[in-house]
Amino acid sequence: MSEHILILPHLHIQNANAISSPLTWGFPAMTAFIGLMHALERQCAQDGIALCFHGIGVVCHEAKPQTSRSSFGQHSFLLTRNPLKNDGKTAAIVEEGRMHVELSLVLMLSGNASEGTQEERMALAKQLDDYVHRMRIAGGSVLPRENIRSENLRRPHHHQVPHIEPLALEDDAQYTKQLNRLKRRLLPGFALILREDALAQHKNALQEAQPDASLLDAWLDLSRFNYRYDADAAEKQHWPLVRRPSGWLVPIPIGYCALSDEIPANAIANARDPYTPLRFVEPLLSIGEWRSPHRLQCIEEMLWRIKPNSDERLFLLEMLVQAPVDGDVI
Amino acid sequence: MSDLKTASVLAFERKLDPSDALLFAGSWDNRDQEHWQPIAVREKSVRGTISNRLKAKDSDPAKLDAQVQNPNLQTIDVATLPHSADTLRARFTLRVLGEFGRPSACNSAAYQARLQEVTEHYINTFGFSTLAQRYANNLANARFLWRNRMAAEQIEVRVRVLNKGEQEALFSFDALSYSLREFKEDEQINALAVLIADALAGKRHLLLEITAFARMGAGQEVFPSQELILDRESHKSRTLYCLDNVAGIHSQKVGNALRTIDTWYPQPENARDYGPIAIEPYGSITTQGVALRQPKKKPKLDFYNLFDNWLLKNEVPDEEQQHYVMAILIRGGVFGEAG
Repeated sequence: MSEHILILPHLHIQNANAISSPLTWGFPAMTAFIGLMHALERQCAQDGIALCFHGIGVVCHEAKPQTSRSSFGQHSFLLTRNPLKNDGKTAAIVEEGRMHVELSLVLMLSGNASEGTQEERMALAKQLDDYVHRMRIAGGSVLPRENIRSENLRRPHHHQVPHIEPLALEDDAQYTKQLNRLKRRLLPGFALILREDALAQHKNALQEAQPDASLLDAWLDLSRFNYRYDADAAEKQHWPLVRRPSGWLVPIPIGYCALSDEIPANAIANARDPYTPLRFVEPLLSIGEWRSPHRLQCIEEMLWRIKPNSDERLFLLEMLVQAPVDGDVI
Repeated sequence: MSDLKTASVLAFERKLDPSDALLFAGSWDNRDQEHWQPIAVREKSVRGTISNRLKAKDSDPAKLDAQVQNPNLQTIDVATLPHSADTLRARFTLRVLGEFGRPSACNSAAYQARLQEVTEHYINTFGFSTLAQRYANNLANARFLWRNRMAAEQIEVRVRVLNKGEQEALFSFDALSYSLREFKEDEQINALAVLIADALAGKRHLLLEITAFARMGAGQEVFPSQELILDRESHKSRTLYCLDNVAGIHSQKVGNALRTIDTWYPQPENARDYGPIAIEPYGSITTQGVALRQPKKKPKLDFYNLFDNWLLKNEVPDEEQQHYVMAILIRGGVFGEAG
């Protein structure tokens, strides 16, 4: 069975959750997309479609966080007014972060269902696209593709059609051609990739000046703009921006770490369902990069999966193939 | 049955899932044209007067004199039709989802089984025709235009049924001939209602594209949704919703208009006729600051009392209240027992 690439292009998601962890916001957490892949696999199994999903990648074409900005540039979320309480008074407002995003999903899969003819494969891609349109992605509704925005359609029509094809892994020349074609479908946009190496590097860089700097210091340092006073400058009060490592680096959550031991199913009150064992967790944070797909050297560089066989107290995401460090590629 | 308890985690997804409605401008005669000009939200600053009612302590004559002489400067957002266009076009899509009666989260298997029993009984007895009829009416009468509907002299609503990107059917309604206070039956409404009912029952997949044309007059103001901002640090006192520089009405607001079908609430104490109200667990009307289905006053017709009595004590409510309870499940929400 060969591996296939499925592209679900240009999904418009309305009111997705923009708060990815207690410390980060701006794009739904990658765990939400892994969950989507899992839900899709279960839906397929339920309907007798034999497929196994190996990884999922996200290319964001447009993101519109629902915030307003003050004159200082500080964001605050636009909230919703909820139904009144039973006495006719206004209900308390619960802050939630929402955003509209347009993104393409790239999934790697294999299985009998994907082995058919060209037409059968196209029908399968359409079917999977249909499933996704009936699901929620990161809590947001998926809008129909041919929709209100069709007036300012900026892309060739065939780039808007769900697409599936086998990966030509044996033939290098063929693969390069195929990769270029796939990449073109995903432009313009940015794929989210994991850059743990940037975090480690930055820690080392910080330690040169400050030996007790920790990973947390490095993470915080990468998550903000730093201005440092330059005492040697000719002009007075010179506060230059400290140059960051190159690349569009962002703080992201990449999984969960257990806080408690595993609690058997149905042993704890008010759990979400009575059949699944559970444990309390907290999110794990790292550094990601938004990288334009034209810079990918293989499609696996943008695909995420759950790290297999790690410590059972960890639910950790990783890339199928770690992208080369910036600077190695053009 | 007597020891059945409400699940502590119980949530339903909304089954009528509308998109935001985007606003465009054009002329009434060009309704068939696809390309309309987006309506943008712009900022304007006005020099107003102080006209609010003053607090008692401020009504010292000398002081009052000083205050009301001051201009009241403010910056607000507005959206209007351009002077070359007399018609507003609002467009959104509506997805109707099946799997009715299946909670998206429920932690009690016994409760879920009972729930399924009750919803299946409802579907077999009544089907969704009554509810679908009313939802179809709210598409036809353009209630989702809210304030924009009030100022329009002519409104046409077109409902396209989309199937895999192709148009399967098209309905066209003269919205002003449908009342906001009554639900009407006619050939088109019935046909649309059958589609919605089938989709709710899971017999088909339904995606509608709704386009409303409202003739308001060239240059007239239109009314997109207003944003709710709690920590307002900006100078602007009214922020309107826009997406890609196109003014829009929030999906929540469209959804609220579509489910304004509840006429089964108890007679209010002030004997006012509120007409149909939105389907809400306590029958609340945000604009009026009242809740018409009080859980503490008899008859107890709020959602929780009806629902619990029906499921846990097998006290089957009247037909009308059954419709109401099912409409709440279509609306969706988190209904678990407080821990």
